[in-house]
Amino acid sequence: MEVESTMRSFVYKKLDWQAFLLKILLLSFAFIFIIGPLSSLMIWSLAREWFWPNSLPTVWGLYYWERALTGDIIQSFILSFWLAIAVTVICLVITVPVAYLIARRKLPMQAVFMAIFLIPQAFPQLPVYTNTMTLMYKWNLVGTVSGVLLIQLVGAIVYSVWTLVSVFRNIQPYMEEASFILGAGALKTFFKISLPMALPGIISAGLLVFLFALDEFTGSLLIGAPFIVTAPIYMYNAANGYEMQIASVIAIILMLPGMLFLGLLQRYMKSEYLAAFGRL
Amino acid sequence: MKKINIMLSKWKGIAFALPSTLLIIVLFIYPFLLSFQRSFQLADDSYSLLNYVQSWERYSSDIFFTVFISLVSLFILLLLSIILSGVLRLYSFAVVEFIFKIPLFVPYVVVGHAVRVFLAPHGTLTSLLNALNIVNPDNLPQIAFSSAGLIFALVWKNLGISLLLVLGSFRGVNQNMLEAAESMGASKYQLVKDFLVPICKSSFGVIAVLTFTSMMGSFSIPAMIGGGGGSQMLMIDVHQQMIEQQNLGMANAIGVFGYLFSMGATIYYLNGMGKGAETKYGS
Amino acid sequence: MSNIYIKNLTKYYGKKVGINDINITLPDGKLTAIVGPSGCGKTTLLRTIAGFYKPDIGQIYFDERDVTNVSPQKRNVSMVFQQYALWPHLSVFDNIAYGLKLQKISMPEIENRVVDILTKVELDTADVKKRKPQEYSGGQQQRIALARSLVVQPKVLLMDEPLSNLDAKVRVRLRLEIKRIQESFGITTAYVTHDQEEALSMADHIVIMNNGIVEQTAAPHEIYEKPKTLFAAKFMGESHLLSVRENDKELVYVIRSREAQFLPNGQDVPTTGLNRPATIVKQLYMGAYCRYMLDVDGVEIFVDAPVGYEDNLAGHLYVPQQFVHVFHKEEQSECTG
Repeated sequence: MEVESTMRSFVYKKLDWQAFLLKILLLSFAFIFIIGPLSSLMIWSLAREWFWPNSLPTVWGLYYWERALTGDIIQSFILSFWLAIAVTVICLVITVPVAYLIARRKLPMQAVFMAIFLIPQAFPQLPVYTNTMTLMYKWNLVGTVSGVLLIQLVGAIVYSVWTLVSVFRNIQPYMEEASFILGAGALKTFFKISLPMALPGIISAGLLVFLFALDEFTGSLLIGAPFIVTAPIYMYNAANGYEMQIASVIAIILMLPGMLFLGLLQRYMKSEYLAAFGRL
Repeated sequence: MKKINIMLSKWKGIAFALPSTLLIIVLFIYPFLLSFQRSFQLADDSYSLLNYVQSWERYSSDIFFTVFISLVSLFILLLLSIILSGVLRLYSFAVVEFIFKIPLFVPYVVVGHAVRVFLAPHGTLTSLLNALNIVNPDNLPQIAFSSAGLIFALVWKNLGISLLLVLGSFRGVNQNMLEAAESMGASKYQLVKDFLVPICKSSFGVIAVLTFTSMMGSFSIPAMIGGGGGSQMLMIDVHQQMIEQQNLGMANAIGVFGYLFSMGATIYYLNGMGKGAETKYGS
Repeated sequence: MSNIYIKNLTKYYGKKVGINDINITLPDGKLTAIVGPSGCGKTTLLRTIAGFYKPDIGQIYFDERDVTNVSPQKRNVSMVFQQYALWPHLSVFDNIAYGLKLQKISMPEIENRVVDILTKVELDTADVKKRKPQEYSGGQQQRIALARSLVVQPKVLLMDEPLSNLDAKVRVRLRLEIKRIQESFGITTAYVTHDQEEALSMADHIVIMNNGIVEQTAAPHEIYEKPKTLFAAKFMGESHLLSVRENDKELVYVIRSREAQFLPNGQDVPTTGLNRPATIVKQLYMGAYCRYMLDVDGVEIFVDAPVGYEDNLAGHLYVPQQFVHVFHKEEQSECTG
């Protein structure tokens, strides 16, 4: 194999009108379809006054940003942030070993374990969570931070397990076999070889779990409402109360961590890591 | 002897697996099974099919609506993903690729809200079209709170992941296979239609099932956008029955309808996963 | 069929030069082997001929037709790849028929031509409509790929290391097959390989490349017997270098193990050709002969000689005059002095 044969051959250097036209077409579609709705948020968040039929706000200003950032939204953001941190830490601690064992097929009844972690991905969550809610009533967890933490953990664990399984599967078993041959035990090999090699994958899994928890809506609404109001729920309430500007401000803030991660991670993003992000 | 040792060490592993597994069992698997039981249970704790009969009477149109919306969204989503991935595979537009990945990390509630302010009768899109004299201000299009708005939002949210998966499998197709066809006279369109799509067929199945289930079970987007007064998505019905009507049996009966649709999809998904590993064509 | 004329062809990768000012002709109906080490630009040259790369400078002509800016679809070339690149979702029949379908040829005619080409590449025509290419062995898959390329009757056949993925026995057999098929079609062929033996045995014409430039173009026997540059001499055959100083000039002898001899002390050493005192250091038993590692003025030179000499045996390294390849060290050019 030569170096040049693996290079992208369809990318012509000289301007190719067909490619140029396609690029313009695609770019305009991307702008209208993707950026369009997002820029609406930005415009709304800056709209001090906006009367129909003006196509842009009549009075612009940071009024709603100030109002939003000095009000009780701050509480919701702080709550959401700490919840997401706690979910991420707990989730990684308990899922790294499971994911490793599943990836290396070292669990008895492997199929049963895999099914347990697959089922939550395959069925709608809301009807299940309504029943979880009745259980949590019995345990006095509804309307508490612990209850919300637990319900967020459910989704986070499932997501984290499958992400980490694919991280560990990407580490060739012979790396570990080399360590076994030199006389290291299973635990030592795991901590000295497998874990350090998996660290970049575990860190990105952690970031994704953090995002997942930050954005979680369905479970938190059922278990937390009306006492525990996370940021997404605050936004939902604001939007349903037709406080468009406030909702838009929160929406933008909620998007920021995701955009940051996308910018940082997009080079390393593997599709299998992200399968669960269709399900927030 | 050796075998016993291996078995023993396998059982030791369970200790590590226990915390997360128990959490899932208690907070998901058990309530999941409960919902089947409760769907037959009436207010007086007797069991019958009444919940199903009633929910079918009241919600059958919503069931069809949910399946219809999910299938249409899925169709549009796949079509868009294939076109975009085809272009991005054969040419390389980093900026466009980045923009289409954005929806991946935008939370569902934010999508719901953004689409609403974008498509609402007095929203940004209509304002813009009005300024350009494309629409009549006395007869504004009702996109936001209609099926079209719902489909728009569902497609929007799922486009990131779907594009990532489709483009990923397109990129996995050996470059030489495309070049062989190209040198025989195949056009770019034929490269997509005759090679990329059929070679990656198995991955579409998985994507379709994943997104179908997620669209059908979506709650926050329909909660923000609604179905336009008429029919609504099943998960909204579940939520109403549960929270507003406090009718546990009915809520679960509707939920079970949702499960059944996912179940078919899941069986297909698991089969697809097994097959996907075998039929994945190396590059 | 056509002659291919390549003029001043240059292609950069960013600032790196892929190929630099290539001027060669691939003669009509002949098999031209393009050889060289990894990264020498031979694949770049081939892919530029195919149209997958556009050159930065220079032209490519198929006879009088300038194809430099013609897309691969319209060049009427076919390519055979190292990894076969057969389409896994199509049956063997459909793989071969695809190019014909693009040309809108009628189905009965397609059937005839596919069966015909399969017979020519000596593949069993049974089941080809049912079986997928991956059900066949590597050698058979490369025959299918060859059939797929030839069935569309291209003007030019391009082959990129087609045998490198196969094991030794199949490889040798397929060399003969490809040569036979190429000759029977009389198709202009460019054949990229890193294997000098493959090039020597199959080609009518060899182009040696190094660092993006052409070192020498000639018929196989000429390339082997009269290499024009130090690189060309080194690349062909198992060879070793001996630097010497003669008449204030730094010279380099390229000594091929097959052509050199070891003459133990006591045997007459001819006065023509190259001879140097040498001692056997080590030996590798090769079956029919031995490969001896000689110490020649502190330089290690390998020489093939009859089995039976002991280590530490003193004697002479001798290269007959017709096998002496000597070059100026600085210019790396041939020294005729």
